[in-house]
Amino acid sequence: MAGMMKFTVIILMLMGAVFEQGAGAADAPKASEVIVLRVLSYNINGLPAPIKKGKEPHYARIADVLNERRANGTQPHIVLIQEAFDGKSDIVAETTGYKYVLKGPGRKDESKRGDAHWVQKTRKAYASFSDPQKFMGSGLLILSDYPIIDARHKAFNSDECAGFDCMSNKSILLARIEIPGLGRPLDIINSHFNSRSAAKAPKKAVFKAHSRQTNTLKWFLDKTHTGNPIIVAGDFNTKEERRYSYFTEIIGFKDAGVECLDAIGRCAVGEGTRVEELLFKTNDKHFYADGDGVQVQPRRMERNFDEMLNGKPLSDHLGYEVVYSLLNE
Amino acid sequence: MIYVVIGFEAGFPVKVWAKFLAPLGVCVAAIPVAAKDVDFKYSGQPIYIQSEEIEDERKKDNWSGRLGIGLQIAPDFLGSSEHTLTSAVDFKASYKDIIFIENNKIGSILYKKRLLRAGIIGRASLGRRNDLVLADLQGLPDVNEAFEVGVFAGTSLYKLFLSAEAYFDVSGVHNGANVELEAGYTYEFNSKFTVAPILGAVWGSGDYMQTYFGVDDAVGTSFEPYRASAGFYEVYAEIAMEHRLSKNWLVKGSMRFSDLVGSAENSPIVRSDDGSTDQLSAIFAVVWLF
Repeated sequence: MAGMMKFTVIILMLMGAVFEQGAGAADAPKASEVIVLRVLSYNINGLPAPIKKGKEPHYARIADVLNERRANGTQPHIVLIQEAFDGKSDIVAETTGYKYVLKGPGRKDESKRGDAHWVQKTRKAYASFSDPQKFMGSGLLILSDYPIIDARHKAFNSDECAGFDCMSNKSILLARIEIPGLGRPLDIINSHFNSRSAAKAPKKAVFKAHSRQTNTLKWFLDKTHTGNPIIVAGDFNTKEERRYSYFTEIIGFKDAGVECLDAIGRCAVGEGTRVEELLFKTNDKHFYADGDGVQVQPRRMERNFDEMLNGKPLSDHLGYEVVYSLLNE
Repeated sequence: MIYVVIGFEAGFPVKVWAKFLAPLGVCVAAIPVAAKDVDFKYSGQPIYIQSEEIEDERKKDNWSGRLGIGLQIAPDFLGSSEHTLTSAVDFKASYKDIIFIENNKIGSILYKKRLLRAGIIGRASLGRRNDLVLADLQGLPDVNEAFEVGVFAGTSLYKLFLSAEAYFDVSGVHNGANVELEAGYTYEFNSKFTVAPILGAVWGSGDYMQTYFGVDDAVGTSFEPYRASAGFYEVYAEIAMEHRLSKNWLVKGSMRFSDLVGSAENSPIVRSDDGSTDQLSAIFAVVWLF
């Protein structure tokens, strides 16, 4: 027991040192006002059969990892999941101890605004479906230990997609979460933007669709803005430079990866996490903005869920987890 | 001062840690309310939260469509070997996705589901007038323009489209029925250029076939009497191309090769010097999208 205590003290001192290096006297938070929040964004590649088959063991393992972490008290407090199309992936939401689950729009919750792409309306009028033809829901989930007190969504309009991505009802999903001790609720947004080459559509079309989705996210942010601190995370498919540039220019939030790496000493990077996987060699991203009277800062980040199961990765994405400190100013 | 933040979920009594670590210059902070309000060991079914949609103010136009002006070439009549080049108008319009007009067709969508649309449709069909055809066909009765009503069903899956239209004559011209089946796929070569190969087949009832391919009374003509029977009489392959010029303009070109089969193939009209089983039609137009 004594040995364990000693070990724990050392660990705590090291953690403290990390915070101390960058915090400085001027912006040192009052200890009692700092809240730690672990947020995981994870595209679990839960495509339905027959596109993907035999994924159940992978979903089960993802759930196991979250349960193991919960048993250790290190579970992410909020999990943002993308591509939970397969009903069998529900195991991740239902068996991991998260009390609150917000499901994104389903297949039938489509937005009927917009118009069919001209490519799909060049033949007989009645066979041109200007209403979106969605075959899958949004695939979005938000799991939270903390109460979700409000939730909003916006399905992208029918002309805000390109290629195969149009088959799913891609959306923006907001959960307003009450975090004990925080002066204001926290707004968490999960989304999955149009893919690039996987969309199998002309480059201009997919870029245009992605740009429109970015515009819609900006509109959504303006519409839902109440002064709450905001974390926007998900699979934004912004690996392409011009997509990333447009996205960050329009949205205007801080990129957690950039901010963390600019603040070495205040923000740690997980062991085994490659820097490029936090920055530009990834479609998974975290962005954030302070709220009125609440400061948000990334303190630690890592790419996780990198284990193999039966020789295959759990997903075609890694988890992207950021430990934020939320500070009541 | 060194700050350490411990989430309550760690399960350690913070006061104990604070007391223990204070001499080491470590200040232990905690999430003040989390421990008592949040259940990190929740084991029940999750509480599913319902989200509310935020919809934008964007409105769809009630009317949408296209108007094209160009040139077309088509057989003088069904089964003709002669083709004529004429000016062409290509017009399509849709009102609220309910009523549509497509050149010689007008219809209403009465059933709308994700994979299927169906409704009623009417069309005006060209006939066969003696003044349009050559001497060999003179003596055959005129076939006036027919007005037909019917039903349609159509679906599209991504860029694959299928349609079926069934027509019944209400103008007393042929008193028969006609069914058109069509399938195609749009290849999007780039954001401005598409090519759609289309395959189709057309079926006619006995009365329909007799009107267009049969010979009832051979007196005054060079044809033997011929009784055309019901069946598929035309199969076709079409290639349709569009090149987008701007947001509201494009140029289109399409070419259809038809082969008359079945009872139509054996028709003395088709087999005459003025007839052919090979039918070509094509259109080239500049199109304004609205």
